[in-house]
Amino acid sequence: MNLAKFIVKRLLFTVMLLIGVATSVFILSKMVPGDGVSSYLSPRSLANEQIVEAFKVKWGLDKPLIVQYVYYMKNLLQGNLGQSIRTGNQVVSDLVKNYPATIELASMSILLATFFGVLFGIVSATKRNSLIDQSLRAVSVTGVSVPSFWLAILVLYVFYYKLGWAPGTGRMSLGIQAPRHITGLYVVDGFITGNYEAMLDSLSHLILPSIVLASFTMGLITRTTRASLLETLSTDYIRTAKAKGLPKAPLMYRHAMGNAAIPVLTVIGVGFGNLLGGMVLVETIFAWPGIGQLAFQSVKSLDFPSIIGVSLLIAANYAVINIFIDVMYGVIDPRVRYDR
Amino acid sequence: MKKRIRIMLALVLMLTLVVTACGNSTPATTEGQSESTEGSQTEEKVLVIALEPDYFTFDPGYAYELYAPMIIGVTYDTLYEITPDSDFPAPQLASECVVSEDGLSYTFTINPNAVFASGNDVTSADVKFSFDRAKNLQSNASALLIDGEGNGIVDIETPDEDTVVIHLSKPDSSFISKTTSTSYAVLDSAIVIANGGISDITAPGKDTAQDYLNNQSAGSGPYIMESFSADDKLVLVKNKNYWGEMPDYDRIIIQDMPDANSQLISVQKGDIDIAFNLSADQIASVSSSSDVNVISGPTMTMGFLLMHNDPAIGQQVSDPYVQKAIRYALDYEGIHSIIGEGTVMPVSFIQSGFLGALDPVDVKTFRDLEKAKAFLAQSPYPDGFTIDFPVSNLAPEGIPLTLIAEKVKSDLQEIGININIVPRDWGGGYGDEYRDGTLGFTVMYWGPDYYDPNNQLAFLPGQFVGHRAGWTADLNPELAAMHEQIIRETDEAKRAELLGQVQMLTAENSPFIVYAQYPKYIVASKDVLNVEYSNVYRMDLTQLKKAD
Amino acid sequence: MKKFMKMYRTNLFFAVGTTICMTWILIAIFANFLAPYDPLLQNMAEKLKPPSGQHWFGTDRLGRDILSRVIVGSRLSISAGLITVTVAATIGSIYGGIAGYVGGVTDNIMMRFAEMVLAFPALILAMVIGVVLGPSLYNTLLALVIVAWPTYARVMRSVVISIKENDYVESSRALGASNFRILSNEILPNTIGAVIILATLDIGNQILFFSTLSFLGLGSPPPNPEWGAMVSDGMDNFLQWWICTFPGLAILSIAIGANFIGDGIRDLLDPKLRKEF
Repeated sequence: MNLAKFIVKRLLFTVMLLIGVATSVFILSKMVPGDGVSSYLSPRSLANEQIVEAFKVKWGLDKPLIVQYVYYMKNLLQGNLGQSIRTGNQVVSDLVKNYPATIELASMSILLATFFGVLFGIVSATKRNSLIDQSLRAVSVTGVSVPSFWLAILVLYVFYYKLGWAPGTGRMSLGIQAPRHITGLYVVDGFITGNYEAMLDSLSHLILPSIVLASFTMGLITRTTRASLLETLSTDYIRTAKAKGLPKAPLMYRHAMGNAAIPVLTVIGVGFGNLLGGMVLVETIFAWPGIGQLAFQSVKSLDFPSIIGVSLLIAANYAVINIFIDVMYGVIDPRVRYDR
Repeated sequence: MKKRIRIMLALVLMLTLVVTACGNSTPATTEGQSESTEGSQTEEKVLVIALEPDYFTFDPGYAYELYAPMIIGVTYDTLYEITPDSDFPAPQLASECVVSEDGLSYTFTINPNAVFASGNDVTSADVKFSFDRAKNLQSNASALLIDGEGNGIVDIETPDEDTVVIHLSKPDSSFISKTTSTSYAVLDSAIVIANGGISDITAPGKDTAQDYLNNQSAGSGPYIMESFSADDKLVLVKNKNYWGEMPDYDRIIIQDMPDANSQLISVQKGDIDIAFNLSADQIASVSSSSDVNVISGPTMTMGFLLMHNDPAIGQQVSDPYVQKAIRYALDYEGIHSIIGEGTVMPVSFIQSGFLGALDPVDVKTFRDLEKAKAFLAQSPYPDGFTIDFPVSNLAPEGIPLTLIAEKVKSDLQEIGININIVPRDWGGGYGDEYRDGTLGFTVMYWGPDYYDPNNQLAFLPGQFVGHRAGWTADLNPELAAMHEQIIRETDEAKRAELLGQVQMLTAENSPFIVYAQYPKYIVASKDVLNVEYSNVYRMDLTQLKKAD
Repeated sequence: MKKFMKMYRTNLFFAVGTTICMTWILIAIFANFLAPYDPLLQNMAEKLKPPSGQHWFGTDRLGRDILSRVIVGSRLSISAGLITVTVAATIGSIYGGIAGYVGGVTDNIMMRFAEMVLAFPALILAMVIGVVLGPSLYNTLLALVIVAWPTYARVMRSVVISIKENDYVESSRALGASNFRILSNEILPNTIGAVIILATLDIGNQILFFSTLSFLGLGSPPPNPEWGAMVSDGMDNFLQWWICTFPGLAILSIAIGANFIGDGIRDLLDPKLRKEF
């Protein structure tokens, strides 16, 4: 009951948060110098006042700000994000179209990052200060320190161009048809429909971008896992337990892992948020038709309906993950109360 | 340990939930449908082009970007077209055209064979509908049908199914050239009307056909647009009902590939057939390779410096001596080596290749620092000055304008002029200020929106680009008057002579310095024949042939 | 300081990190003496030359010496990282500290706001701010701070709350200690460490984020050398691998250095950790 109430409360808050995000982008959009017309009209049309006026009327740019805002919010609350100025499509349909590609890439990266991060972290913590700990730490620090845009260029150059081990940009090789649309995740769809050629091809296209994206989160998770394991191991009650003569291995798993999981979970959540942000550059460099590239193109052309849509989607993802993590806190550590 | 597994499982589960929730609401897209077209008996000829796209709409009423004509040009026909063989327009949908004595009415006869991809006949009603819609939509196409003062097409008559009479408000020597542009594309009116198309004056608010036209074409060209997915790809397939000569490729995929390096690698590896956005420096590394051809050609894109004539806006650079000093101080040879081989410097704002264009300037000898310093000495600022230099984030033909600005800064330092580069966002205010003519000193570029030198007359005093540099008609009435003279001149030889005069008069005395006409580089697989840059379409896709 | 020297001797990573960062700081201070060429000097005859004895890191599209540009570019990156972290940490920890200590509705509202900023995709927010305010160095730093502070607020708040609920604070409160006493004796000493750790760990991130923004064309105007912008330059010419490789390595190395130090300081400030095992 307590938990259910907590979740409902958090979901309500999420709705408010999204309204806040939409409002902030709306305000930002109105702070852009100029009237926002020049990205969409040809030089010749810009010189023609009737055309400029017609454009403003069409997109409601001629109305007073407050009217624009009320109108926008009314539509938003009805689930209508409006029309993208850049693509001319409904923002919702652009998001729906691009979302699976991003989820596929993000899931792959977060799986990679979590698997290797937690593994490295545990190994590092148990073999503290050994050579293997030192090397893993060096790897994880490099992971969080490498600029993703640079790494993306580098791996493309080395693994695609020079060595030819991995396919280039995009979600699929050009000759291969995408599998029938079920979830939109090509790997999953390929598997379900038995189109293994498409599945393997899209999987191979996932490798480079997901490694680039995972590097940061992986480093973060390794570091946090190691640090929080060491920290819980040094807390009083573990020391007491140790003093009581409990053997070391079960002790680590039973007590330390549970406590260490909280910061690790937080970091996975933060990492996921970072991933969605990091998508922007990586998707653009890898020509990945996802939310990140949509975001990049929208910001570049100041397509605010679309920018708001993308921001809302990412913020909603982030909020849902955070609620999930908060719930998990309680599952892991019963001392956490939800009424706080 | 168990708990960790539980967490992981839960995470995966949640991801799956998010994903399926999204998947459920997704309608089946074209990806699913295209599967069924597979498995035809004969081997399909497929061409893959990689492009950094700038287009977002294929509605001829709205499109204006550099690459939109490549698509609209093959999915729609126009009354006249520019062919690769000639600089003068040749009939396409029209079989002939008669111009009235006063130059005010054009009577086009439509080719009776012409049919739309849908099977509908191309009739005069379609032409009237298309032109009226383009004119009344009040968007990018409108600017080519009627100008800000209301001059242009005033009335369209359709005496019979195959005849269209277009009445102009005043003679226009480039009208036939204008009809070759995508703004004059002829739409299948039955389909467009069924999808919300409106051609009367209520069009700006009421016409909803753009949604439809963004995803499929409704024209009579050799290809039809099968699908378009922004930030992904565009697919063209052969129009089985095409009424003219059939093109060679059955299917053309235009793949979004914003990163030029990826384009370069992909084409060398054979993953794509044509790479479109490569710079001279990138070409240098492939010219030795044997699997691909490097094709280059001049474009009509020109870069220029703008020095505002109004002292309140242009400050120091509004001074004519300063303008001359800057003209002679720039290292054009160096600038051209940044842009790449094949760059030329037109005498003035009429690009080399157009009717009446003079021979380009010899950049090896043009720079003259002594002359520049002498001019500067005659100005009120003999010891130089410091001035802001706003630059937008645009990159004509892949060369960032900021790079040119850095070179300009270094060159002008040599005569004591110090410029502060101020990076600006095109959409974040720069574009508006450029349009309103409130930028004092900047670098910009220009590409013609229809293939005719009259296009360039926008730079004359009193015209809209001239205005952006504060070049009002009263500053040079004689030159300003030439605009009207050239527009009305229907004799091509006389028009060429007048255009030549304009260039002579503006070579040294204008607020614009045209530093370069950019070249274009394309890398194509040797499997594709007839690859050529086209100034009208960027590339004429119908010409391309697959090698045996 | 003694502790520091001991750390330097005993902790390999800390030593390496400190060495890297000190080197970069020295390079930044003496950049003008160290740079073999004027970083702004263009020489079209020498453009796009691969690394050689004359130009160790090669030259760029305008024939400028990349080594000199990397050296001089260190100033901007390092100061951007330090400034952002200092400002963001100050704002964020005061904000989070207040929220955590006061608790209740105030905490709720304050943290909801911070969470909203946090929920925003950072890069998109920074890019939009860059566009709205215009791409200049000042605005880029502002965007960095706007994006960075909520993390500090969040961490600070959770640390304050956990300390507040710790047995010893609860007992001293039970013993009648005043708010001020609790703040100065229990909370402050225990939180400063957390903020410093976070700040040190964050410097690397902020340098990275700054370079990302400058990669996107925000940041200091050209022709000033800036690592991110240089990588972006190199991306246009990536077959001339040296243009983007060296500035990228510079970013990587300084971020590694900062992160190693962060790790080291974490150990230093957490004496418990060193006794254990």
